[in-house]
Amino acid sequence: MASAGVVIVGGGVIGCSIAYHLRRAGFPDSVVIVERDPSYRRASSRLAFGGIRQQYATEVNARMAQRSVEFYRRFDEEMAVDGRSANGRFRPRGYLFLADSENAESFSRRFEKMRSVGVAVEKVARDRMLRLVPGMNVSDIEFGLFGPQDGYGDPIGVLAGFRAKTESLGVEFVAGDLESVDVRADRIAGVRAGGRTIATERLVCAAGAFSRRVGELVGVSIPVSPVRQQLVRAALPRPWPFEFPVVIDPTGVHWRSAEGNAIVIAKTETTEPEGENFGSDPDRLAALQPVLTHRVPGLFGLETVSTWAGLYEMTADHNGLLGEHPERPGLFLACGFSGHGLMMAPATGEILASMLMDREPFVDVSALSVDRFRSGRLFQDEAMI
Amino acid sequence: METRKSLFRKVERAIEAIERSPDVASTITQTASAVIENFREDLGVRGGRLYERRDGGYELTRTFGDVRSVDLGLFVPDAYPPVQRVIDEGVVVMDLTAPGVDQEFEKRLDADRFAAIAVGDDEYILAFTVDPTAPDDDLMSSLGIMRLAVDQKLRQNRFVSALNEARQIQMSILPKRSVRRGAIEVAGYTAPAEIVGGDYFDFIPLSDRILGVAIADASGHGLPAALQVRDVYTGLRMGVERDFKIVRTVERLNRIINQSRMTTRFVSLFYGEVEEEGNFMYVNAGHPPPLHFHSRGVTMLKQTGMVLGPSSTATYSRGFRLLERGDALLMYTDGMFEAHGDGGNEYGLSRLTDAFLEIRDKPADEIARRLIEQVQAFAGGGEPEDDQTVVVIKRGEDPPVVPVEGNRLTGGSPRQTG
Repeated sequence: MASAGVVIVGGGVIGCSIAYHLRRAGFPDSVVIVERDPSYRRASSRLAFGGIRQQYATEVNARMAQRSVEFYRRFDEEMAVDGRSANGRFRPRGYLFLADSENAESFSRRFEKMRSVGVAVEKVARDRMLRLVPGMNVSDIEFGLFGPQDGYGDPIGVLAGFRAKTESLGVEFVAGDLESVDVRADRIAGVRAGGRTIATERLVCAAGAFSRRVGELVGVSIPVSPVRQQLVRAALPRPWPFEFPVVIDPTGVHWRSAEGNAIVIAKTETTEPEGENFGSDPDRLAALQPVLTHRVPGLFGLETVSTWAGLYEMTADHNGLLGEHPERPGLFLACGFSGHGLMMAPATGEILASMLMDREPFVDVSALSVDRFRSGRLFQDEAMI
Repeated sequence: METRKSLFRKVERAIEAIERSPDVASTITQTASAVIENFREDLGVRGGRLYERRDGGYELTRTFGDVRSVDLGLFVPDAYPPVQRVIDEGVVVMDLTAPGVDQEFEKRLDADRFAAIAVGDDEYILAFTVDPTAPDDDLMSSLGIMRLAVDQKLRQNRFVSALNEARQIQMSILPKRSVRRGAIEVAGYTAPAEIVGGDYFDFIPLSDRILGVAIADASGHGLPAALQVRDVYTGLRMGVERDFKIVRTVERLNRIINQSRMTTRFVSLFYGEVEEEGNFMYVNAGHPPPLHFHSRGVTMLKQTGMVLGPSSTATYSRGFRLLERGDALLMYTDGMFEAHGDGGNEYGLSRLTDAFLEIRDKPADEIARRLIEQVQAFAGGGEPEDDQTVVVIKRGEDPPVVPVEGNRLTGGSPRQTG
């Protein structure tokens, strides 16, 4: 029977990042990644918006995000294989949250908190906002919160870069479902996946929106729910003279530039029901257009190029689950990032690699333990959207 | 009073028998038998004779019950006064003393007293020999009700058979099975709301490498919509088989529909030509935008002109898509997304795309069939509110986005960032 030092369930950006960081840190044993869908057709990594920011209001999130942003700055070189660089294409265009009269107070509070935990963020007035986004209607905007080091990347390029680099370092990918988990004396003893049986004492759940099912196989609760997020790619009505930062309108509609004179638009719907739902409304833009043209009148005449949907991996407090499961030694969680998995993937990989090698992570992540749901101490970060 | 009540119960029973009859011949037979069986006691009906219209008169074609044996084929001319009366009045009760009755003729039939009804637009006369003592008004009213029931049933039979014929015509123009052109696979499925609908789809072979694919929806349902659809079917086939100018063909078709007598009607049409290599050229005349499923999501194939019919001078332009390996096109009519479920929710395009994505790896004909099943299940079964039609075009296999060997994404270029 084959054996592995670590088996990671989920070959998306989180799983690959963990494997990459294990290899880089000199993990002595073999690393196996189980990926149910080698086409990544339904992988949240591939279907994501691609925003990468450090604007969080708690120390652990802020430090993880900062670490990740740094990583994405050098991603294309660091993930190069055989001298060919990757195509993550991180664009440090910034992240601009717009505060109107309704949310100005909470944004101010959030700003103070972010500053106190060392986040690079500025409170910007209207004239500065207009320099960041020429042509924007700021008449109903009080101020903006701008993260100048933030930006966005290409999720497909990021995923491909992580995967290629991981494979080049000798990490083995098993294509197929996680079928069963062998638990002995409450500890992880092995898995059966893709028709193969692998003995291992360490199992990592990086299964994103499908993590709850991993929990069922292991016999513990992993409280992560799949929730659809719809995205629209739209062609700009004329050649656009500048690249947008990620702009977050007070309505929740947010967008960024994309190659090919286009923008990618999303809006998190608080009423979206749970479920593995991948349908997208091909005419979704019609619902978003009024907000977009109110905010930037020049966006009138956007044309849908395509729409798609991916799954958020939601937890009750919208913060990730990190660390060893208290009820099942050997099971490590790296999931539930609630829409921030891509931007947290580099730091998550580094932290999990430390944990799996019995080293201290660069930041204390005990607040992100799954234990908080059992004890009822949810973890609140005011900058969660 | 008691007698009357029981009589009308018998009339009801007789009508029920008529309503169960499946075709014209059995409706007539059922009527005759029911009258004899139910009215023998109360009205002294003993037997009956069926006359069918021929040139210049009526021919005796059948007898029922207890009647004197007589040669079938007996001919009664239109000019015979009792025939004229039954045609004029619908129901008559006569005896040998009535004016114009040929006593010798009626005696030969042993019909000293008879009641007759004309049914089926006077195509048939049913005559019954009745007891001399049976009250006239009971006979008249019972037979009068019977006559109305028979006529209604016959009209219904005729209408259903005309609709059946139309349905047969319509089904005969629909492709029977999926079609392949190299790696391109095309299949369609339709569920009409009424016995005939205004939806249609067609696969038109243009060469070994090129296939024409059409989907259309004529406004309204039933026969007029089906006839309109036939015009589109014929016009489109004639046009595209003769030359390859799809815009000109659609413009000509628009003029034909515009000039047809049913000018209040219009037709939405999506017509495209798919080549083995995945090139897809189309005209969308006011049809709900087909959905192109590709590795970066889903894209609508928007309208390139207005619906056919309202304007004789409408112009159309072409659209183009490249179907890459693993891509699919889903064409549909509005019945596919306007179906309502419990609580009045519309099925909607979002559910349609979700349903498609769930089964996108299945063969095209299975996808088409299952999508319609899903919409119908959502709507809670029963008759669909509107015709429901889907056509699926698939191109080949979907290679993994990240190949198992190698280190490059093939399914999405960095331009298509998510």
